[in-house]
Amino acid sequence: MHLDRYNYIATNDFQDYEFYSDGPKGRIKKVIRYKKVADDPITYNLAFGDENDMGMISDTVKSNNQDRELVLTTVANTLHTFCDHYGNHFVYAEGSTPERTRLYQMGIARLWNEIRMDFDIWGYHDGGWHYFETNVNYEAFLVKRK
Amino acid sequence: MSTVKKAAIKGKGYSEIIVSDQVRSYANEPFFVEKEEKAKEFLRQHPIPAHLIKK
Repeated sequence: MHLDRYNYIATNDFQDYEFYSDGPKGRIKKVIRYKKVADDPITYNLAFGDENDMGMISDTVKSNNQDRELVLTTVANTLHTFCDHYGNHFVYAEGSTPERTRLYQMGIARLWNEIRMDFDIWGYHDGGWHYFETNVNYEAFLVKRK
Repeated sequence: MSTVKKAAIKGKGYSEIIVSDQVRSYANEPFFVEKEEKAKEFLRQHPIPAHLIKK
């Protein structure tokens, strides 16, 4: 996956990441955290949001910084870094709201031809986990590096 | 004093990333703790099927 991305910084344990989105709305700090949430099979949660000047984190704010794909590509790259250190396990992700999850789905769909080269993705809908399709709305996602 | 170093990531990762002890851990951040609890609950209710695990 050779797409432009923001530079990011990781903690020494490679579970927390930071980068800055730059756009019309200014410089917005993005933070990402991976945390194991299941042992069988090993599954990590991927969560990310915006951190404001007060240190409060939220993923309900629409930043409208016109760099959605760049942000998604950066998150995908942190997943590579994380997997380099923790292995290719399942990684779970969902938005804070159905609308936010839908935005993730649209972002994945736009970059699907690139993303699918490195990752398998499944989405949850209609009562089950299904391999990702670009025209389906999902409740949550599972990602696994190939 | 914090130090910043560059780490070359092998495997499928690209280029270099910066590893820093200036990045704070979000382990106890309520936003993330809540997300993790939601993920656990979702996966408990909707477990990963066996055919995906064997893939």
